[in-house]
Amino acid sequence: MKLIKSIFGLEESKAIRLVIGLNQVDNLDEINWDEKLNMPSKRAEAIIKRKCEDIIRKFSVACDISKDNFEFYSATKKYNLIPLLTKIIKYSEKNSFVLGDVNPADPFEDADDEVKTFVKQEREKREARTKFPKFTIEKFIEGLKETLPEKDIDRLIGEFGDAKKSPPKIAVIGKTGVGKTTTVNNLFNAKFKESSILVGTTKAQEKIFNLDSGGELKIIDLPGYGRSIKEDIEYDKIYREIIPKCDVLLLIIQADTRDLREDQKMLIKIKSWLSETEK
Amino acid sequence: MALSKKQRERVLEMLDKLDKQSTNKILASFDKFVNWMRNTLYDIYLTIRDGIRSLFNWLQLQFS
Repeated sequence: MKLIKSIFGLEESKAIRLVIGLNQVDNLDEINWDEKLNMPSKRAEAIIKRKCEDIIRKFSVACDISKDNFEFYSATKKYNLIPLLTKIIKYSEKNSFVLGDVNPADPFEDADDEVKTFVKQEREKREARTKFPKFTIEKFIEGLKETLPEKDIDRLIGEFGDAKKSPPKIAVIGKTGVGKTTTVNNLFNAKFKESSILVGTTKAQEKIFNLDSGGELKIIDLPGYGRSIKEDIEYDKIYREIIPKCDVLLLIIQADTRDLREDQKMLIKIKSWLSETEK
Repeated sequence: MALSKKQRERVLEMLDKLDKQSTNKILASFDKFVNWMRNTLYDIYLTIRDGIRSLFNWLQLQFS
């Protein structure tokens, strides 16, 4: 209902362009990860959910941030990546619909061969059962040809093409060693194309990736915090310059850490930097 | 070792979950597309607004 309301302008989505990913949930205490299936047991999944809810509650209270901005996942296990991508689409400021065609890495890629065969057969069965073709925005525009005059269709296709050419600029931040690179690689299933150093800093890099669905993705890889006070002070200047200019920021937090203070302090700073450019 | 009945059920559960998650991703993307269209091509958006409502309801039904 919320989605329908937002489509028809009855409810504006929350402005903060921030997604907080709780990574490495497979490393949480008491988690029984089924390596053969590459997924948590049902009981483990319930524990992951409960423990992450605890962490999210602590952040919500300490940093006054909506629980909806959070998502838990494991980059190395390719677990729960689609909900994380969905949040990035939801919270980014512009043109994030291009990410609707992106398919994160499949968790079953790392399962046992027998499981892979079973999954393949099951997926083929499901596909054969599906009565309707997969919905895409391109198909939707194609369908509008019956409703709209040709000149409007041409305008729509032209504008849509231009919008697709300017994909969202996603900045990624987190403590050193939190899994930023693995997250980016598995979340966007993207192939690295080129990298350039951003003006004014040798520490933040803008990386351009090719997407399987066509088009490009711009990721700004920010230096990791938490190594030393001196470096953190230096990096704050970089964050302050870059974060307000991004379309969406992905803050990655290690779910299996007990010390959340540094991340909480960073989140408070991020909120203030992001609010500088909010409309 | 062959997959046990329990393991098969767990895989099927995960496949259902992935299907549902993919649907939510498509709907979020469509939502953003419609917002973009409203901001960029308001006159066209007004023309098809009612159609989008029907389409969205239809999509939700297919995916639910």
